[in-house]
Amino acid sequence: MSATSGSSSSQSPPVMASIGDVGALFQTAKKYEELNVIGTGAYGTVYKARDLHNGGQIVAMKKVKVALTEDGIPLSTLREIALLRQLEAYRHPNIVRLLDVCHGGQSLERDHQLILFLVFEHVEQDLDSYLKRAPGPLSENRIRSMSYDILSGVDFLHSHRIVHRDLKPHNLLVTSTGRVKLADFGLAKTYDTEMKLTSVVVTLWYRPPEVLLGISYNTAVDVWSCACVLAQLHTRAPLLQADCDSQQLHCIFRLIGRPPRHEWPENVAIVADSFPDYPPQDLADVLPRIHPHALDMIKGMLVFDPAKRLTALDCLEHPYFTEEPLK
Amino acid sequence: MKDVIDVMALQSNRRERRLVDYRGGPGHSLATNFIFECGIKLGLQPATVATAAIFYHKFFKEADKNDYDCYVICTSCLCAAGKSRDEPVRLRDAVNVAHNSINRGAGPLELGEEYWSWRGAVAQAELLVLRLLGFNLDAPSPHRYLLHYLRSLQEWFPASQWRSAPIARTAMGFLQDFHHSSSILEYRAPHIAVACLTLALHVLGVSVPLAATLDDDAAWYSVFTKDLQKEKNWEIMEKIMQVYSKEPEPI
Ligand SMILES: Nc1ncnc2c1ncn2[C@@H]1O[C@H](COP(=O)(O)OP(=O)(O)O)[C@@H](O)[C@H]1O
Ligand SMILES: [Mg+2]
Repeated sequence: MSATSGSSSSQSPPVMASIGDVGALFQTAKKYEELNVIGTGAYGTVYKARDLHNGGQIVAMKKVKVALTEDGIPLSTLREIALLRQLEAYRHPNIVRLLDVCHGGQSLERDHQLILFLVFEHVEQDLDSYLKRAPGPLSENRIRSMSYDILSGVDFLHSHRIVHRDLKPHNLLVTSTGRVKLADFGLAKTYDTEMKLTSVVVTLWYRPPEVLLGISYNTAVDVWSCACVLAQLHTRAPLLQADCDSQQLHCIFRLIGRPPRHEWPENVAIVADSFPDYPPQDLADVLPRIHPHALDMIKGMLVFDPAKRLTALDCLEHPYFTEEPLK
Repeated sequence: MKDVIDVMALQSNRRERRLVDYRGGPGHSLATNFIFECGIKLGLQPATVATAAIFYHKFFKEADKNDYDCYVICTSCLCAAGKSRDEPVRLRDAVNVAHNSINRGAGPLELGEEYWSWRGAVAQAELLVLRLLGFNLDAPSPHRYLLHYLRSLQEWFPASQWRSAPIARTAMGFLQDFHHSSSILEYRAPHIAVACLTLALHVLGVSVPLAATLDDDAAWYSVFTKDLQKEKNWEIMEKIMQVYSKEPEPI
């Protein structure tokens, strides 16, 4: 047995100083040099940054504010981030790589706030800017392969019991080779408890009726949002644009028809009769020149009853993708 | 087999010695004992306490043991493990349990300066542990594998023989105790579970029914895990036994 006792462990109480020398470790942000802001969403600011420990590789660094509780970091945040780390092990091609998670420390802890830095691979642009910059309509092949990428990513999340909840062009990243990767998911509970960082308005255009009606929802919400995005790949314009919850519902029902009363969910504040009895529109009129298989699949995704909607896996197995090999 | 029988004796010895004086132990020599004692007092599941021990070993794979207060880090590992396995403990309870384990008989910690400095240190340390682990908190639990293997193994034994030997308890004991060693980080969960089981069977002098009818090369545990070589299994068993002969680390 050794007689030396170097550490302070043998004497109690432990002093703050023993843990106070960790400045260097907490200065994690210094590992990355912030270059410029590339995105400001509702909950975080995303910076382009240089990874100084990795040959100056360019990364995307998302800053998220977390309120510390009496018991330290909230359980939900800890679990959400741990799950993102776990997912990372699969290196799914349609999920943005999460390279590192770090946080500022010490001084921030005093005002009971923690700034988390999620470090992602940097992807050229998001789908919103990709579509805005496209010189003309996308080719049928491009649309099909992008649709497949998006649905593969969504199916992957669903198979790990993660609901994205906010699929839209801003949260889909497009690489320089035209592959699509999902971003901005998995922190729903962290966000819920957190005040917004910015005043950016959350868009409703990709929300399914069950969310707008305020009832509980599941993975089917993502399929609805996907359908809106897929339709947008064809027209380069949002499918269902309104600026408040109720207008958004009108917009939806004008397209798919007001659901019959027996399909209207129970325990919802809004009654079916508050909407005119809109007849369903033919989606083919809204999406001219669309491939008939694509049309059929999107129709199956834009179904009012979430239980009757196609799943992401159903979509991946749809003739739209299986009849001809993807290039 | 003499060696192995001794290990068995040590295993129980070690249990009796558990009421340790943490102030007396040099450096980190009692760190994992501390984690287990506090974890049990906090009412955490064995797999959660084991996860805390894993966090501790992982932390000090990266950090220098001289730089941090051992028991503050241990306490924060328990907090982080509790959250990661959805079994959160109150920071306040963790601090009190830790304090009372170190200062035996001292009574509850008053809400004074000492309490707040402990609490602040543990909260900081939790963030530090998370940072150093990069939020990789998914500790594949050998407990789950072991329980599963035990259940299958039980079916192979005549009920009377199974009841006459404490196979499950012995194997679980080895698994728990292996968490005192940082070499647990070097092996995969199913392999660790098999090694604990094999060691328990050896120690108790029990052989697996029908094992003799298997091909020479096939080990009885090949139905549980395909890729564990016999040599590797022995290596892990040796590492487990070393826990019982471990001298407190010189620091
Ligand atoms: N990995 C990345 N590479 C490039 N740009 C990104 C990356 N991640 C996010 N962005 C850009 O930043 C914006 C906001 O990021 P996001 O993660 O969606 O944050 P928020 O939760 O605030 O919406 C995105 O719309 C996108 O334009
Ligand atoms: Mg976003």
